[in-house]
Amino acid sequence: MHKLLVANRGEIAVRIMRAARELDLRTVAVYSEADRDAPHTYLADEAYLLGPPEPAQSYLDRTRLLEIARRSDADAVHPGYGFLAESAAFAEDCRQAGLIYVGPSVEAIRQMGSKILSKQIAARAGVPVVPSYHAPDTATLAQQGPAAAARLGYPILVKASAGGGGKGMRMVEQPTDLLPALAAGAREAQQAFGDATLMLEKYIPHPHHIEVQILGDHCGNRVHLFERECSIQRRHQKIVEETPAPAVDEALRQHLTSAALCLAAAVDYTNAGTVEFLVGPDGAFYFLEMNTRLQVEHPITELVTGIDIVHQQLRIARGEPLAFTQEQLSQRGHAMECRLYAEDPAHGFLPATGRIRVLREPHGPGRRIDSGIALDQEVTPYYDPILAKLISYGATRQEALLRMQALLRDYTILGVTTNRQFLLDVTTSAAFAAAEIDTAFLDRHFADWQPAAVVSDEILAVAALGELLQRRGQLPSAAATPAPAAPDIVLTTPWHHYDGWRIGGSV
Amino acid sequence: MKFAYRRSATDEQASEVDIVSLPERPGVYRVTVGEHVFELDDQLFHRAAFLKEAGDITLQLEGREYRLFDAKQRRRATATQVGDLHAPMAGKIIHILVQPGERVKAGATLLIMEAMKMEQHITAPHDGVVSRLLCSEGDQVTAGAELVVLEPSSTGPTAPHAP
Repeated sequence: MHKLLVANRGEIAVRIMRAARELDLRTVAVYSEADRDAPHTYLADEAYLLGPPEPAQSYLDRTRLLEIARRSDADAVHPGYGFLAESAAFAEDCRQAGLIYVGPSVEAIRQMGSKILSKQIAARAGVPVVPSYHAPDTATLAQQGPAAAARLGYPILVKASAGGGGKGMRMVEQPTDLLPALAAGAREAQQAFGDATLMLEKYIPHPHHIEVQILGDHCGNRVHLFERECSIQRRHQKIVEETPAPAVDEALRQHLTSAALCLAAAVDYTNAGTVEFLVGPDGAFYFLEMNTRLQVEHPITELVTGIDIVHQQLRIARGEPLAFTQEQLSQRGHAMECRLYAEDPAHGFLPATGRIRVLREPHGPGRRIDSGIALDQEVTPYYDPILAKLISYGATRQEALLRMQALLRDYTILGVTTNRQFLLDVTTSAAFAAAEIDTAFLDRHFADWQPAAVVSDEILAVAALGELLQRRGQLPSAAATPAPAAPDIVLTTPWHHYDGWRIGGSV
Repeated sequence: MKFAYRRSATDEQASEVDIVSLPERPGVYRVTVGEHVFELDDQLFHRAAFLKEAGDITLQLEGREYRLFDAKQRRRATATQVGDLHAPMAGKIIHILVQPGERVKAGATLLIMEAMKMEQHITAPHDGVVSRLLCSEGDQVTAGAELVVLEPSSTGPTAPHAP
């Protein structure tokens, strides 16, 4: 393995490229027309244009990606997260093209990628799954549903079989409400997915979303890197994560990690993966899904275990055995991550766009920033709105929390609306400090959040000073920034040259 | 130098701010806002941040973000509301569920937009008749673009409406 193509963009592409260069691999970036000035594009040894901004014509274009891999003489591909990261077809493409795919086997991706199959495999491996009932058709469901629901035990969830994102989903607390809920759910499912098929699932009240990080090599060694608490979610997407999970005691940790390893063994899992669980308030846990890729929130595990997960992914992919055993691993200290998104928490978390006009990323002890943005970069509507990950570390949860609050206060970004202040309010709340976290946390405490920054006379005074200094050229002004050049096909500076020219480097 | 700001997009009262430099103390300014007088050092902006774009001012100070507006800028109605028929964000029109002439009930989904992997339903703010569609499926639209014209109706819908 000598040259790695990173089939992704943003902070994760930057993160992977840094790790690859540390391991003396050359790096190939791919970029869409919207990303020609993005950090991941200029950090790589070589950069190739994929196509127009739309993901289908750029980062999801498998044919074009393989063509670039061939042209750049890359021998390995890292998919990152999102885009093609869980596409068995892409992993298969890479294998057939003779490329090393930095991830698990095609078969493991396929097995864990199916909602139904993954749960069957988990159940067979002795891993608890959320009890559910599937009927072959709507008529059978109406007939058998009441008995099945009684077996599962109320409250139950009615869910669209085809769906996700909460559409067609309703909670039913008592038997008399079941049939009306089935009728309404079927209508909604038909409308949202074109398929009225529903399933019943036991409802787990106030669960924690807790996941276990796994690493497996090609020599039969497999370890876990403990758990992460990921319950703070909006629209079913995590925004704050931490490890160790305050709700997990040593006994539960033992159960969760061995269940995760059992499942990994059942699909002969290699490379990095994550097994997600719902954990009830009583400590009962249920397998949710397995993510067959690098997770957004992997850095917090790196900070408490001292293991660089991306290094390990690359070492495993090139055939090296794990250099450590389970017994050598431990959790030291506490780490937290906040995801900085270009979105407006005061208006339903709608994605925001704009040009980054002011950017200060504060560094210091116990602070790590995995960022994919740069000053003057345009935040476009085409991709996931993640801008950067703010990560803190401390000897205790309290120390990590204080550092996270300071990091969120000091991080400065203007020009695009972000959730920075929302994250600051979440992490400074009494409920978060007390670790009273479950998946309903944001709905319970922050449903009607507003920035609530009263513009006092003092703020007006500071604004006037800002405006005066800007007029005198002592502060950067928005108008002074030139418009971006139209995207072209070939980047012309030597840093982006196709032959991979690098100062002091041998080609 | 004098500036005038509104404290919110809907603030009707502009606030005047007067700022003078103090020649005997380089980098220090005296700022008068109504009856309050402040002395500010320009070193402040090593920590604070200021941005003015098209009359909108954003200020980040001690971790809080503040928005204010140049009083010369025309006052805007209100921020985007649910039921607004303008695009709340830049994105792509993925589904149009109504046709011109169709009667809809308040709350009915008229079209669905998508940006950054997220769907946004544009719904009718009131009962009415779709008089014009200003976009088609697959269009990429900018934030604030008008998408649909909906004529209010007092009689309510006569045809059953699916969504």
